Amino acid sequence: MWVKTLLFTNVIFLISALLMGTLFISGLVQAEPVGNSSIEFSKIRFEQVTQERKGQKWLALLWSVDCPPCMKELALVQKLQQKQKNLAVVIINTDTEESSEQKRADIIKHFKLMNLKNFHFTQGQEAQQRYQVDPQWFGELPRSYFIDEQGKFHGKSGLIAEEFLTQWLLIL
Amino acid sequence: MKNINNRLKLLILVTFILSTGISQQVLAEPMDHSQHQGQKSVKQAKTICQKIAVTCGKTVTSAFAPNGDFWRIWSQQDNIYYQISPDNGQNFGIAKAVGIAKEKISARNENRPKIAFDSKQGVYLSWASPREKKYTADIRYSYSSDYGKTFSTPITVNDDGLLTGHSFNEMVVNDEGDVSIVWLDGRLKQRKDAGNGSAIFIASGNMTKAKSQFVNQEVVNGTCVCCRLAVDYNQQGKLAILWRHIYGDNIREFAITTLGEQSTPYQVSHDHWKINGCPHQGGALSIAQDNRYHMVWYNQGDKGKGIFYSYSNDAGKSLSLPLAVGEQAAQAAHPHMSERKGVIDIVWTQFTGTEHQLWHQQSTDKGVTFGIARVLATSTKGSDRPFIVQGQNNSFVSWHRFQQGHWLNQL
Repeated sequence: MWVKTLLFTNVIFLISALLMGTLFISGLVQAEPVGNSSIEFSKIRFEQVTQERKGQKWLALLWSVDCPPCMKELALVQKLQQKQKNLAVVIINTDTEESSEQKRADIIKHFKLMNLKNFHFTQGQEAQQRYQVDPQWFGELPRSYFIDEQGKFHGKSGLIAEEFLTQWLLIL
Repeated sequence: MKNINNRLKLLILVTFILSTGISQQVLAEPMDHSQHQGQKSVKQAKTICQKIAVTCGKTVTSAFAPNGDFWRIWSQQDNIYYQISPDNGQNFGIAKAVGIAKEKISARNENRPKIAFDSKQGVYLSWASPREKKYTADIRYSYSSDYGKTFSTPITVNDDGLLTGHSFNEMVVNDEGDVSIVWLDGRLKQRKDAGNGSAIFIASGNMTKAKSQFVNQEVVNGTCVCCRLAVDYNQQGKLAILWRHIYGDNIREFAITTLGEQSTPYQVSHDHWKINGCPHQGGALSIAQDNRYHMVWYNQGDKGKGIFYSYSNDAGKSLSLPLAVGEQAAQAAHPHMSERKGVIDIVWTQFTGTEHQLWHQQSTDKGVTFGIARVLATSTKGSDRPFIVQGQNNSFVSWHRFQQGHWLNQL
């Protein structure tokens, strides 16, 4: 009996391992969010988001914990979120140091942006991931991408005016 | 039963091989597929960096001591570590922690510890230590009079006692031990009439002459808040500072001033980069024996994009026609430069999408003409800013690559 149980368990394990392996390889499994508020950025995940949002206007906002103007833009997003739930904003943090992890979580919490899609870059791959977002972006922050209904990216560096953000994000 | 047992063993073996195979396959994924191993890579990095090694440092600062030793320092686990090489970076002694109490140390991108020497066995360290509130830090300083055996209890250089921004420190020390530390300071933001950005402050002292009090002086207000400063002495022994200033409505251009020689800074770049943000890219300055100021900077303005080199014979009042350096389309960025006996070396990084490249271009006629640019080294696991450091007889480029290590090469 124990042999049958073992065999059964092993078959289940084998199937799970194969399935998990296939899923990992095909990129369908997403890692658990870090700090319950942010998941690691990847090209495929970002493309998935882009596909999911096709046909609507949205904003991808890139920020860093040591960029004061970024905080102003995050505050603007928070303000707009109060006016409209389900704001079409994806937030990408470019910090990868261990020392930044807590700060990142605190800031997301401070601006109450936990319900938005939050990504963060991977240590040692900052440049690759920056390049994956946009080869023409040199890392200056905040960096905002206004993505139109056709999925076309319009990049802008520096703090965006509230008026413009409102026009882009709020369905008035 | 035996048959079942054999099948069971086989199954276990197959399961083991398959699961191992899958793990290896996931681990062996190239960078572009990092999403599969994202969590792993962070964990691996953390595991690797339990040891004390320069490879674990995010950034490295280096300098040659007067006796020809090459020192490199990095921050790890709230300590500053140093290693000394007697042979221009080929071999290093063991990593030692600077003998001071642990504290937080800013060591990323443009903002990192500094090291300098005098000619009397003095080793000088300066760093920014983040405080409890966001964007606040103090400029810290420690000094060794016995070539690193012992270090003084760190002191806070900024004298305002405010919980505000003090960071992006640069330090220069002359042979006699006159120390000058400059930094970006947020204290003026407390004023009602505060302008945009930060201010530059300077403090000077001399530990060997018991002038240990760092009296703070304002140099200029309205600077960019997140780009490093560049400093050098001119031939009159005056300190010149190059920084990214804020002109008008967030036009970020480089400016220069020579302390004690002018009342208003000169505007260096005219690239018209309008950005209310953080470029995270400062410039570099090197003053030659003929008092020619050599400079490089980076901008993304509508009149000038990329890296530019220029020189000035009148301390920045007028400049040579800026020369574009590197390939803008290849993400040329983070330039540094240094002049030595009429030879100008410029280094910068470029990025192909998968590979970081360290580039070098040289002028042997005081910056009038430059040879062709060439790649010196590459990296796939991240790239620190490159810096040129002066040895006794030669110039060297120092480049740190995350997890790959620190690299020093004679130019």
